[in-house]
Amino acid sequence: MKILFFICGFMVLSMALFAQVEISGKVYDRNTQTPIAGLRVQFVKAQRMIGTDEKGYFKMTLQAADTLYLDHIGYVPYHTVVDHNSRFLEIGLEAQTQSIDLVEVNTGYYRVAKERSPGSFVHIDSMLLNRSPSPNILQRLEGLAPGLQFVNAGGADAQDIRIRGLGTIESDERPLIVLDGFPYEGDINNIPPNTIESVTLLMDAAAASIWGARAGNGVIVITTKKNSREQPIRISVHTDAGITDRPDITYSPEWLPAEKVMAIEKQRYALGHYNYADNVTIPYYVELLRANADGDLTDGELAGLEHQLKSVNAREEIMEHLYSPALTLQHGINMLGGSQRYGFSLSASYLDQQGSVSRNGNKRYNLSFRNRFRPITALEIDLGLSYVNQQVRNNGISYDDLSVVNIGVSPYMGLQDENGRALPLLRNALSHNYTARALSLGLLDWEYRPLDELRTGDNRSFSQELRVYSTVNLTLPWGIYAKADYQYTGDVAGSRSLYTKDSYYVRNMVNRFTQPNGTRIIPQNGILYIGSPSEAFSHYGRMSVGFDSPWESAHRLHAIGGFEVRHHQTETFPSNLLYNYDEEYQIGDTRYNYNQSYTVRPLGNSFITGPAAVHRLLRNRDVSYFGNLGYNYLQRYFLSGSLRYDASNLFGVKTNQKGVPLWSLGGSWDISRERFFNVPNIDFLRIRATYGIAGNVNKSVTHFPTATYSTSNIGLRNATYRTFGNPSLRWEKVATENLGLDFRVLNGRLSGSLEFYGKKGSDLIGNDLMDPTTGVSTDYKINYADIATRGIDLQLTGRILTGKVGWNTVWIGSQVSNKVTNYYTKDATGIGVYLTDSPNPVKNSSRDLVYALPWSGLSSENGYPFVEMDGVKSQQYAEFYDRYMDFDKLLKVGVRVPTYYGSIRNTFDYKDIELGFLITWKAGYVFRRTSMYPGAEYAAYYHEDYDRRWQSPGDERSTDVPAFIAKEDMPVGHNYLSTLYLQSEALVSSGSHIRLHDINIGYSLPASLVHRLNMKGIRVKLYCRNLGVIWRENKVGIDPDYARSLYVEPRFYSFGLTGDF
Amino acid sequence: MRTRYLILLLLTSACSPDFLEIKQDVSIGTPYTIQDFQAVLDHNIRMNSNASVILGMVGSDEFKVSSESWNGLPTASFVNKNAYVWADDVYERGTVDDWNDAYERILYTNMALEGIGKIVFSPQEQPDWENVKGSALFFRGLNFYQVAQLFAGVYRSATAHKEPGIPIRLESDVTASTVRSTLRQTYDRILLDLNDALPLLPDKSVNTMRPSKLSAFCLLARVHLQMEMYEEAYSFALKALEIEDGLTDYTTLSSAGTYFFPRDNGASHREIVLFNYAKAATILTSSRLQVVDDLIALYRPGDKRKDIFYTKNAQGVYFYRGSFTGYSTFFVGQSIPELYLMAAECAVRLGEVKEGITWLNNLRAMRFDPQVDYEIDTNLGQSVALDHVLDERRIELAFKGLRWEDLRRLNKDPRYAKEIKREINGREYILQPDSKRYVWPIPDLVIEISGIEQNDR
Repeated sequence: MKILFFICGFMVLSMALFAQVEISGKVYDRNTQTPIAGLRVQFVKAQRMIGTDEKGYFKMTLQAADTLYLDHIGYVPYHTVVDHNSRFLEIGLEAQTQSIDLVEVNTGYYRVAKERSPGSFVHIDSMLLNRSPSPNILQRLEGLAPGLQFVNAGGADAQDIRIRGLGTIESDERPLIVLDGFPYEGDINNIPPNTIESVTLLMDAAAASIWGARAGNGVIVITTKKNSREQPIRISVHTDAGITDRPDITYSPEWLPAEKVMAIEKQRYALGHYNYADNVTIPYYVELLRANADGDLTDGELAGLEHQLKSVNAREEIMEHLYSPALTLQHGINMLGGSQRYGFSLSASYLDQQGSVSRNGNKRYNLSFRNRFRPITALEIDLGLSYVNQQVRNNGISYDDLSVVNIGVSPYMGLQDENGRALPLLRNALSHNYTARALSLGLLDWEYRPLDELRTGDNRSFSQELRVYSTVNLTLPWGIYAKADYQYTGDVAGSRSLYTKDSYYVRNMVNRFTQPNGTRIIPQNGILYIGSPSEAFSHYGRMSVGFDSPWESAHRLHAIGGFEVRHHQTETFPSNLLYNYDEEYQIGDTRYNYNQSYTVRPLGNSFITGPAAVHRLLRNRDVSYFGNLGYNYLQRYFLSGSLRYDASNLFGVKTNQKGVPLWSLGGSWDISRERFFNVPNIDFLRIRATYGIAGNVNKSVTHFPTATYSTSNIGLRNATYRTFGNPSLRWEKVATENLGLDFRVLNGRLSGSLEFYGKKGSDLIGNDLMDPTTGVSTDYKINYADIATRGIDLQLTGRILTGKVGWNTVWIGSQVSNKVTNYYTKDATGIGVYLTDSPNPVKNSSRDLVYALPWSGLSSENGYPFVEMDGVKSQQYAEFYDRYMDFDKLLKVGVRVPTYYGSIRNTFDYKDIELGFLITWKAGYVFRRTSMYPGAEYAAYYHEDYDRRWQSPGDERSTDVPAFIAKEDMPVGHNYLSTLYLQSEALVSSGSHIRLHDINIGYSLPASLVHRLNMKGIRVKLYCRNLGVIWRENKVGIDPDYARSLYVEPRFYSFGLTGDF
Repeated sequence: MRTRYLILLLLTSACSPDFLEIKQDVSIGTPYTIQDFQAVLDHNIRMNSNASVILGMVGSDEFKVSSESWNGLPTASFVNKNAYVWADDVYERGTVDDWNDAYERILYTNMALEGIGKIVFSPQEQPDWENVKGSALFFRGLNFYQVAQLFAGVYRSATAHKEPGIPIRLESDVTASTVRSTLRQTYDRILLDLNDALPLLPDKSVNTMRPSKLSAFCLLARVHLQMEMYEEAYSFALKALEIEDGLTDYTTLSSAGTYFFPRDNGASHREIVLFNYAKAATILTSSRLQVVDDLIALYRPGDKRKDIFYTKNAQGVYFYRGSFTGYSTFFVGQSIPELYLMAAECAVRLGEVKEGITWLNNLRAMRFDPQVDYEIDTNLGQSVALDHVLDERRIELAFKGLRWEDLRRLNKDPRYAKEIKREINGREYILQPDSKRYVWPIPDLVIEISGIEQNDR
């Protein structure tokens, strides 16, 4: 500070020698009437600049009349002509209400005013983050930012997200998550949203490339709350109670009612499809039919049972008893405060979340404490600590848990009888006939009754994370500063499963290992399994030196350079297992022979489950050097550049392959600050362009052959080749270009930005399609492809009404598409590789392309699909699929990821009430739905479409669902029939839809009332999410985001209360 | 305080060139020592399992399945299903495990051979070094042989030089292109690998997963038998039997549960020469596979093998119980009884009927109830004696993965040529003795990528 005054004084003194016009004045905030210090006063013609002092005064001597120009963050720019007549100017600046453009964004390395960097950033502040009470921070971002795409709706993990499309094909697609300046390796659920100040998305090279080799997929920078330096203690408490509806599992079309499944099973029984053995599970109804055939069940009894079974709807029972509405409770307290020398922030939070599957859920406790010391003005030390403890309980039984191989969930087997007694269901590899006889064989009850099982076990997993970080910032003379950052994170995680002596798990183990002579190998007592514990820790260190030009001049420069090192390791330890476990005294036994093969019931022999012999240590080390430079001239022309070198402990590569240099360059021009620019109503106009190269790490590739070592089943050392080596491997690179336009018009009533970008991933690593004769049939990595992604991001913010009733609206729209521009691998001519969920990349087409077989309808004779070859319809499936069809004849029906998406967010306010709603939309993509294919009954796959299948000639006019396969018609090429239908265009629909994502209502209690309670504010919030689809293009009644799910994410309602003290 | 030292340590160590030399995953390495390459070959889940015999087992005449079972096979088992009826298009573009697994093992042996070739060993290390090299050569020869039995024609010395064989890959370079050798070159390479392996291997190995002179002699005998070179085959069988000829008396076997042999990866059953088992093919699961009547009919009363290897259901249908593996998977490795049978067959074919039948009787002595007269007359004529030998071979080696290659070589002789019939959904499928379908097609993907010649069908 002193140095600044010294320079100012020097300049004033030297100018005085040529004094002709002396201008002085004072600048203040018009609203608060307080002086504005450190404001730059520019004289346009003279190209001179001076800062205001602590009381807002300035003084300048000029040689001629000039234009005085004031521009300061947070205020509307001001200009006026000054000449001999001007003496003392009192300038009151109008505060700018438009907040989004004034923010400082945080790249993780440095903070920069968004308007002063050519880079592309999206800043989401805590206000916006707190629209939604979701306990997961990423979930709160959905629909709020252009270019941020949730590939999986409701995504809660980095892998569900794409930032500006794809930059890679087979390497990690996840964006990098940075927490308080360091890459975050932990579980994203461990970050409590209430501690977060802001989230910044780094979209282009200028913004992200400082993150180098990990920035190829975009970066999400999360910054936690900091103490502001000087302020009295402020306390804020919040509490939120939410409820998620019971999921509707009847949504899935993969289901047929009891009567129909029984009819199919009866038919299969008559055809002799079932094998009978004690270790083969067959449907319960088939057991009854057999008993009837054997004379153990009379026709009358069978008819009675049939009647009873037909009335059962297992799915509804499962939904009622095993799923439930789920409660989410969140409480938190934040405390901020500080003086000039010391500041702190403290937050604590608690989350208790029930799962949709009853008895599942998790709890999270968090405590963070952050201190800022400033012993002398030049030195600032930031010390923080954050602790998270998460407990997950997994005691529920889901629909999928009840599914049995080759049978599925029997729709006629309910969970309880009319007296409320739990009923048994089938289990894998055990016939019901056999388990029912268990007691008479001298075994324990071998029935699995889900409703009785709910309370017989305790499965938990836990994780604890400790994060300690510190920053020492030393301000040196001449605008130089030095910074040292350090962060330690430590994680421990583990799991524990306790099965009580009456649990099915224990009874099953005891029975299985009961020897032919009746000896029990496993005692009937509890079993305690301690899952492989893991410990992880990381050290990050970073040293940097920066420079921020302190002098008052038209030229401004800031620069930062430094290096960082990182060590991250995860160690996994063997699990443990106690048999004969007595919960009451916590005693158990480990003395079992895991090497002996025992005879097991009902058939065969087996070893006793032992602890997992795992010990694994993974260590990642990185060293990086970085530099960033920003320059501006007259606050109008901005240039930025960055350089970075990343090296990693890649294994099996040559030393010079361990690292990669990366860079970026950008510039922007603030046109509205030009003197010639004098367009009325345009407050701000800027264009910017950037280009740069980031990278993508793929640790699975090697130059030399590498092998994984383990111990074999006979105790010898084993080596499995992991890679066979490829000397020509290179690092993946992602080049990004960005062209942006920012504007603000009508005194801030309308603002927005429009960006065009291109991303080119080159030297992408992926699996080559290999001739299996080489010995490699699945996994051989080469740098084989390039991919180009292009897109447009648009954001418009309008303050439509600013009167008593306020109305703000934000429109976000993004367009994105990608194209594989190079693909070197040998191509398979077979079409099978394209008809999967992740088809082979193809040059000049989208990576997300969905291929389909042409659909030529059903035959009126037998109800099976036609195939059309050279205009002739036939049923020569093998000929069609193997020989006629080729890549060119495949239909390219669309892409599976939306190419257009966006949202509309409206907020209305009236007095203290605020109402907002978020509408999201997706378009330009397709999805493939499920259906009933011929022969599916034999695989016990059931689907509603069974009712729509072809049954008699004429049906082909109204349905595409092929006929079911009767025994005598079973063609040899059975595989073709299902593929021809399931992979056909008939099952592909447009995914375009509009969804009401959420609604929130906020109400701030009147100040008079609040003050009486000695508080600063009380706010009540109501929120509702997943309100469903408003419009969709497909006519098949499927929510495209949940095309293959068991249920659509249920509605969530919450009520929140925030109090400020 | 500790933290501060750690930072210091981190910063200083980061500057040293070793900082990035630390291994990312401790369990990963680049194999370069003798022990490393031994570990590559000791990976028995790869080298000693998923043996490439499945297409042959499915296509042979040892079992049948009902139309219901066949229809009810899961969709994913279409290769099994098609192979059972020797269909035109067997793979429907699917994966062919027999081919892929064999060539993966061949790549492993090539990696080991190239690696071991670069090692300069000390005199103390010589036995270990030789064991690695010998084992790699043995496994490569074994896999070439198994691939040749499925994907190349039957060996006839007169025409072998002009018939297509299999691709012979002798280097680990995965970018090298695939070409088909001639059938002569294929068998020459198999014999060369095995002969090269012989002097390097110990007489007997420390466990049944590793090759030995015993297993190499046994395999050499098998290859020569397939080539109808009976003198050589006989001599190799005898050399093997000199090393080990102990059999287990089956009357002493008992079962605690389902299986008669211990499930211990071949550690305790003395008849096992080299442990090897086949992948569990869906069509061959114990509940589907019905043993054919003409095989069951060969078992004489008192033959313990019928109970040990089969179960009978209430309808009188025989199912497979389990093998030397001690459970339901098929043991398809080498065994002492195979040596007895090869010796017997070669001796009889070479005119030494008495000697041949003696080998047979010695084997039968360990298979029958002692009170039953199991002995075969040693004074039979050559042709009748050969009938006995071949029947015994069918019984003893049933479901041991050898029937397909036996069918192929025996079909050359009109006396033993056999037509195999199958009926599925009322349709009859026949495999004629001279059918081209005794050679399975090469996987579609291989043809597409390498452009090598496909087998006639």
